Amino acid sequence: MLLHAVFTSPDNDHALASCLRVALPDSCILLLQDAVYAAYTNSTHASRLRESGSRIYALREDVEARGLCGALDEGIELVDYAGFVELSVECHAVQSWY
Amino acid sequence: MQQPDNSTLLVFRQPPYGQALARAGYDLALAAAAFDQPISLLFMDDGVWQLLPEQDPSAIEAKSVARTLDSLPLYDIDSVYVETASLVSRGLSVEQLRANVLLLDDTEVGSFINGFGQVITF
Repeated sequence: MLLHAVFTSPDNDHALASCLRVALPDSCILLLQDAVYAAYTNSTHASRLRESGSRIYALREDVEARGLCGALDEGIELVDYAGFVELSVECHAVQSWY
Repeated sequence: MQQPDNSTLLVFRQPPYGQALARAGYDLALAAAAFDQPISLLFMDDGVWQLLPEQDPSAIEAKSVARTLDSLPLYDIDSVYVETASLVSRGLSVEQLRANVLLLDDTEVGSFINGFGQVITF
């Protein structure tokens, strides 16, 4: 199982779109840095994430920094840095998207 | 397409000359090959622009990425893959590309990447 780590805003480049194009349905997708905007409730990106079949995570520190707490799409799980490490161990490889 | 656990996939997603990422990717590929590490290359998104022939970056004082690509077989790097969707969306066809490349369609690319022990993006 791959962990896809996405770093850039979905409205600024194609990193998330390309990730969703190639990610297998049982992948983990972790949103970091400006990629957490994709998790904003009611955004088109959030619904695409939901439909991907992957497990979707967002890094708590980056979500809090941008004032998105309480406005995240349901189905997106918050993880802290320790959770990030656990995901990295659980998955056999990490693919970064930036 | 399961690869050995120590297999590494380098994913090139950026065009060749806007920044130094592509060059860094080739440096890693050649270094890994020098230590007999199994290396494969996948070009997708704007990375497919690296595969165009007749690149001449001398006027912008950059080293030719295309020439480095040509040298890969000398280092026994023969596994060069291209995501078909990235070609199609840019109006490119495989006949226009320089190196001997293998195409991966929508149904293949996900499991292809999943088969590697390490994935590094440039």
